[in-house]
Amino acid sequence: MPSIFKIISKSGVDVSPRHRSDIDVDDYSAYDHTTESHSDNVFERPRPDDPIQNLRPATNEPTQSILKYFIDGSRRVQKVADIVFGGRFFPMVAGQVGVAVTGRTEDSPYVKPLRDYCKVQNVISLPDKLGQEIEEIQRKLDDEFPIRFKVLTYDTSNQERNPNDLAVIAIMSQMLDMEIEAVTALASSGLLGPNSWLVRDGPLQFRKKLPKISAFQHVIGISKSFSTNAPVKKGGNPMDVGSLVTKLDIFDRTKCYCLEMSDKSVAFWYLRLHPKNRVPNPALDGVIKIEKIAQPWEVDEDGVEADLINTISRHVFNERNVTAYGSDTRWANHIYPVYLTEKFLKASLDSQLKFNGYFRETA
Amino acid sequence: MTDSIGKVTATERAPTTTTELAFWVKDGIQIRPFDIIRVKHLSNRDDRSASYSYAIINELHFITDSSGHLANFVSSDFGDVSAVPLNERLGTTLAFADVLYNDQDVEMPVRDGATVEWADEEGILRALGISNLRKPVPAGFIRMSNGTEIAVHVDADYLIGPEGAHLNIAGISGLATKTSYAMFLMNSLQQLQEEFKQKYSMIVFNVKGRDLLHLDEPLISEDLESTKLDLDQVREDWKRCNLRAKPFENVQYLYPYDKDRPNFTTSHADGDSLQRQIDAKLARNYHYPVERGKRKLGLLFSDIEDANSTLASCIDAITGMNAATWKALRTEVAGHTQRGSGANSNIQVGSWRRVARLIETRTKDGIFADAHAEERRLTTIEKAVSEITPGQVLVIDIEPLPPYLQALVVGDVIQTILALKLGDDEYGFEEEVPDIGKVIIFADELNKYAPRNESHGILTSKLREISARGRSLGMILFGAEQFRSGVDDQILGNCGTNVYGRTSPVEVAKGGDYKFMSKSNQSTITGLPKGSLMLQHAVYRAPLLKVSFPFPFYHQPKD
Repeated sequence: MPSIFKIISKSGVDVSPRHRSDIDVDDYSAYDHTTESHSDNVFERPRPDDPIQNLRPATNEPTQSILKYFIDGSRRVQKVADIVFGGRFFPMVAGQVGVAVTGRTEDSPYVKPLRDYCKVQNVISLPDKLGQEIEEIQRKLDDEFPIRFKVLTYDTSNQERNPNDLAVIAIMSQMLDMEIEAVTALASSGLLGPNSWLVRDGPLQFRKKLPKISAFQHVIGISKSFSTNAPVKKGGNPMDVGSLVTKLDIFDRTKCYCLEMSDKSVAFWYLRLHPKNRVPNPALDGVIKIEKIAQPWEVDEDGVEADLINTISRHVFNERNVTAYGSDTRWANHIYPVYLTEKFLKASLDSQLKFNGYFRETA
Repeated sequence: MTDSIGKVTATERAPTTTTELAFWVKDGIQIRPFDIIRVKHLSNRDDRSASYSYAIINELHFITDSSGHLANFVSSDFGDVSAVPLNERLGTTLAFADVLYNDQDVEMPVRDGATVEWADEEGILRALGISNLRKPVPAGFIRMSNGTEIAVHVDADYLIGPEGAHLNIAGISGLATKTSYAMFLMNSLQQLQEEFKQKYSMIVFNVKGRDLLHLDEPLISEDLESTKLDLDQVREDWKRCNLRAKPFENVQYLYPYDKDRPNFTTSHADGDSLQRQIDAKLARNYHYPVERGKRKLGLLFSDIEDANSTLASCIDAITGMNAATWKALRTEVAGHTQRGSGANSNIQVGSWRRVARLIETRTKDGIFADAHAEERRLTTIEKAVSEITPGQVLVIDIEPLPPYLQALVVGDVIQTILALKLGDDEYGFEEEVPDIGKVIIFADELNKYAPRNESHGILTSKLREISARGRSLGMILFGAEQFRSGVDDQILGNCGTNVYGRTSPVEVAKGGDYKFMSKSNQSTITGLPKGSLMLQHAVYRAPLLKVSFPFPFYHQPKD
């Protein structure tokens, strides 16, 4: 099997392989998660009197869940070489991105993957400075390398960010596209509805224009971590998210707020899944953020119906057990089906050892 | 194509090996230890057709992704027992199995992800190494979780020689069905005599109740009252083993003599049955006239410590006495106990007094009788044993006797057979030694006759001799006991076939012969249901098989 480096070099690009370094750190979450235009307007109908509402269930018996499908995107990236171009060094970042969709079925106690919507892709992120060479590299890789790699480009004009970050962001963007594509396909196939919602691991803000807002009608995003310094009340006695969520007790939710983005409005609220006195960091552990993309009528009526928010919240509360305690430091902010979806996706990616082999010369 | 029941899992820390594999079990499939499965494996043929590795399950685990017990506590709302989690924790049953065989002789470890299926019947027999036995003797059947039942066999060449020999069955009373299994195997052998073109003499000691005193009478419905079986089912089980459901044939019975008891015996045999046996000339009473009995004193006192050999010296002296009756013998021995009587002897008076007391107390039983009236059907053990014809079954009832007399009778039988096989002047067989053929001796409570850590006993050394040389002499020992830990190591070590019935956890915890078993097998053995046993046989590839066997088809009246 020829080395990927050799194939790229044949395109006239000067590749300088380097010891592979893992740059797969979690610093890029801000990419799909923004605090811009954070509103302090309550976005639910009717307007609640109390800032916090308790939704403690009357019984321990969970009802049949409306949260039927779960989606997670994941990537594994590493810097594999430097591209020497015009007297400058640019990182060449390679990795795998994937999206997994799982669903609850009648015949299994566990969520099972929906193979039609699960996808893993090998990617290489190269500087856009290479111009036309990019197409040539893609063609050569398709012709000469037995494993399919998609070549992505990153914007080198952004001087404020580290080129490594820019390369990774291009890969992240590809992952988000794959997720959006999967959500759209799920909605088009009629799988999503009032009794079969899709839960995304992470926010729904996607820093890109969504092709179809209506595809997200029955989708919520659950964030394990979130910005704590965004304001939820500006006038009078101002308050930010951090101060608000520390007041939450188990089964409490906050009012619903709205994040105005250029192409969409995202409704969001916070829930506490586990009691404060049982988690390592009582302020934020056990609190999750739920997002829902506001549909046109919800924007028109200036809020999501409180009943819907409560219904979704109750079903999310029911997901609090079992936990990934001991296996994941974020256990108190995780819901188990998402945790399993994440596990399935990670297991679907090639091992580091195998992936490294694609960049090694063999006889 | 057979349905898949799981897939092999091999990990960095838990790889498959040439001898072991693990697989996860498909939801909804129930398996258990001793089930045999097959795994698709590499090819060793030009046509690249896949081979199959066969493996026997020895342990099952259920694993989850829980990092610990605390995680499960947390997942129940921090210890709320009424909490009902919506999500079931991810988990699967992992089965661990020992590789037995590959049908293309591939010895490579099976691969991760290989498909696991129920093994086919033919494959199981090949995997166990019993598909081509020279002289197959039905040994019961194995039941798999998928409902398959397969008759299994032992090889007569390894059960009763010449390749291997002797059988040992251990297990607690009542539940282990030791006697039933021994009788099943002996019945199998009796039925196969014609096929094997060899006749086997069998000597069976009855040590409990009336268990073995009706071997020639067929099973009746009342015998099955305590079981869930009926006669048709029992017949079906025998048929499944390719045997006829029938009692033993050509059986003779020997009962302990007592001149003062009905029918001149202390036996607890059922009156009607005994009368039937007497009428059919199948029953005799055994006794020890003084002339033969005094030569057996070594066996009578075999359980007594004799570090200085004084007891042996006294016995030698007594053997030379010319007493015509037991009474006369006791009187003569008593003569040596008087003060000053040992002046011309190197045996001290104290030793004679001890022997006199022993003779007095141990020859009180009715079998030490000199009477020999014809109508009392009297015989001696020596005579009865030497008169066995090949193919005959001789049942000797020793149940009414105290342990030291049971040991005497068992020892006498063994000594007599050894004398018949090897020749012994004392027995007077040197001119025309009767041919009794290959003899199988079944003795329950073997621990009484050959206890562990006993080096001095005559009986123990005779039994050791049988276990070591019996194979070539044609003397096969089928022994049984409650606890293997109580039986002489050499005797157990020479058994080519070992059967483990239900036993106590304490016995298993002692280690010893149970050490080689997996935890799961050890646990299984403490809870084996009646009618099931674990079988270890020289030719089997699997260390142990869990077998069931047909209910013995002879009358077993309840006490």
